[in-house]
Amino acid sequence: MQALAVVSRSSRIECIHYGHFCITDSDKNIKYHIGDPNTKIFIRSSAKPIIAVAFVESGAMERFGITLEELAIICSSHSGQYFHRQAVKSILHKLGLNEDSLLCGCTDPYNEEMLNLLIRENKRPSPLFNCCSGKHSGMLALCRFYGYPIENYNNVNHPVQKLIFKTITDLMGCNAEDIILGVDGCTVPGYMISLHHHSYLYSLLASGYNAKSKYRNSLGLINKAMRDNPRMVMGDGKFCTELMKACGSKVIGKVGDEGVYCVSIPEKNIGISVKIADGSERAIYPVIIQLLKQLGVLNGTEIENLKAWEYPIVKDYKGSVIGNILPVIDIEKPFAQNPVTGQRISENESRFIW
Amino acid sequence: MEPLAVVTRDNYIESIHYGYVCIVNSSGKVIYNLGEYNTRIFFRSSAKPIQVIPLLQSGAADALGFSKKEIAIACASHSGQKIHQEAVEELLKKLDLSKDNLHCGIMTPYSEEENKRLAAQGESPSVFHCSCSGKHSAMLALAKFRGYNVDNYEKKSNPVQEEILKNLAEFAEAEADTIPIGTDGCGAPIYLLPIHKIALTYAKLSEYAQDRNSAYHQSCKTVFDAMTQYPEMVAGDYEFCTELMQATGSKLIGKVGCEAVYCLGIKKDNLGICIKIADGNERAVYPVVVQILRDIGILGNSEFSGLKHWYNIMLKNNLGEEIGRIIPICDLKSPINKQYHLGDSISFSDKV
Repeated sequence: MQALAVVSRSSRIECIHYGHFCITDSDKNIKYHIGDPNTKIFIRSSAKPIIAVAFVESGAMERFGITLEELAIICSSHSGQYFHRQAVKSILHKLGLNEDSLLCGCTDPYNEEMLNLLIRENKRPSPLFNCCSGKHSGMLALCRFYGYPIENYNNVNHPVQKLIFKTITDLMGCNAEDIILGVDGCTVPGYMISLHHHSYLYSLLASGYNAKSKYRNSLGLINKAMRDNPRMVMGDGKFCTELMKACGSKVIGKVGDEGVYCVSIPEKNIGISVKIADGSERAIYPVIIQLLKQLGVLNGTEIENLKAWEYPIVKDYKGSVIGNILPVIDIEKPFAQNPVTGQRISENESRFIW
Repeated sequence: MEPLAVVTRDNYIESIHYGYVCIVNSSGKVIYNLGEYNTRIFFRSSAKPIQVIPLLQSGAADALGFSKKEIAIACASHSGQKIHQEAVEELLKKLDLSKDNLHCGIMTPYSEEENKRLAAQGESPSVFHCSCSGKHSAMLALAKFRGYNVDNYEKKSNPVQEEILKNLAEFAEAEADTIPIGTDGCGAPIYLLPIHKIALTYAKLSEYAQDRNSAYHQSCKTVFDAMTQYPEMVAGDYEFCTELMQATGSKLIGKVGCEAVYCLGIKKDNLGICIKIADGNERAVYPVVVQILRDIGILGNSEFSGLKHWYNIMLKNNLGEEIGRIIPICDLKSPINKQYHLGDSISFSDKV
């Protein structure tokens, strides 16, 4: 297992995050990787833009007059801000439904302000606050479009889930056996696939209208929807949104639970899949920025704008800086470093020194 | 470093936690270890029961009339419940000091209930909510008793910190001036030590607590008694340290540290245990601690059943249905007997 990031305290390594990544082009060629690219991971919420292909492909967008903003929320893990909830509400309204049809369950919103507001007003969050409510409304739209029952749409045997599964296997160009099904946090099927396949799916999204796939038009529209609406994809102050905003949406970034992250890089037609083995999200940000830097995707200003994510600060309770989360990857020399806790480390601009 | 716990989803491994375990006796002999036990880690809040010893050894605690409950809060990473806030306030009162003298900083309390109460009433947390406010009060007490400067008691140059370091080095059988010192979350000094040395401090604490001939007997016995008699002060309701000590009577003390450190002192055979999850995720600590205590025969069946919810921790989806578990996979008696990879299928029933 290879270290991808470390956490420092007083210039010593306090924690280490191990993991895998795979970078693949739209011809399915692996460009770089750390760890076995055939390792299978649950792709969690990073599946959302891929799931959305089935929705766009059906023609449901046109039938129900779904906007690009609304398509972006279907691809999102949103933070429950007002405009997110409005977008989901609007989709449901266009389907003649309301939030009672959502089977995603209720969870606290990621947005701290919204969460505090709910607590102050002693309110339970409605399903609209659930980060997956956009995806669920997309599934409901498919049900409505094909005339499937809207009950139990989250069940693996429901025709809408079978359609989504078929679309994903088609996109991956693989057999059904290559995908292991599980259950996601929001109760719909979750997909376990290899890092290679995972990064390939994101390379297809990167290529969009130019993808060598029969789904190219849908991929192109999803690509556009997400890049045009970065605030919809996650929310203010959240990594996916901040990453896309900082670089003028030259990449698409999408988080998944348990340390999963994907990036599509349209200008290079490549996709990145990262999995932090221990499931920690804090290690993802510096690893992604570092990878984009080393791939030559980000320019100086963009890197500067993303500094807080590249070297996230560890503070004490009084707010003094006592450490950083530091990326320790080198795509050209993947095995150059083998950090150990207790080791001295000092962050000096963009280089880390042992 | 070895895999210590896995997180499953639908009987597949979704995430893996690596780490270290070291168990020593009070002579420093390593009885069991997983991973290289010379690896150095920050002691973090697990150091508190050791850091409090100079307060007791100096006579300050007696002179100032500290109760066992107050010693327990000095050893605590408390969750900021009302009882904790009051205990710290009481401590400060005995010192004729106020909250302004506490330099631990302000943090959101671990107690969800208290946190929600604060949010609901539009209140901000105070220094009393800081999990380290008990430790800081104890440091202030020692400074006051010795006549040291109370205004910079948390700085490593203050004689209070020198005294604490000297004692800790003695328990760790290390040279004080060779121990790298970092800054803890609460701004106080924290020590970087090899894992087996950290375990040794707890083994010594366990031995001295029972050995009437030890010069540290009274102090160590007080720490042990305080933590085991007032476990609710050491962490809080629904917290692991509290529930572990509630379930095990006076057999052992257990103390968590930030970034997934855990230490235990066990009376039987004077054992000290140090665990570190390399990635710093605390969720893996609990099942590993319970597994290890079972492996070395410390937990009886009824104690174990009371702690089951910390052993194979259930993970639920948004509708409250079980979708996976956090499962300990460490085996002290036969380390590295099996490889674990992401995506491997694993049966939960295997480990019950």
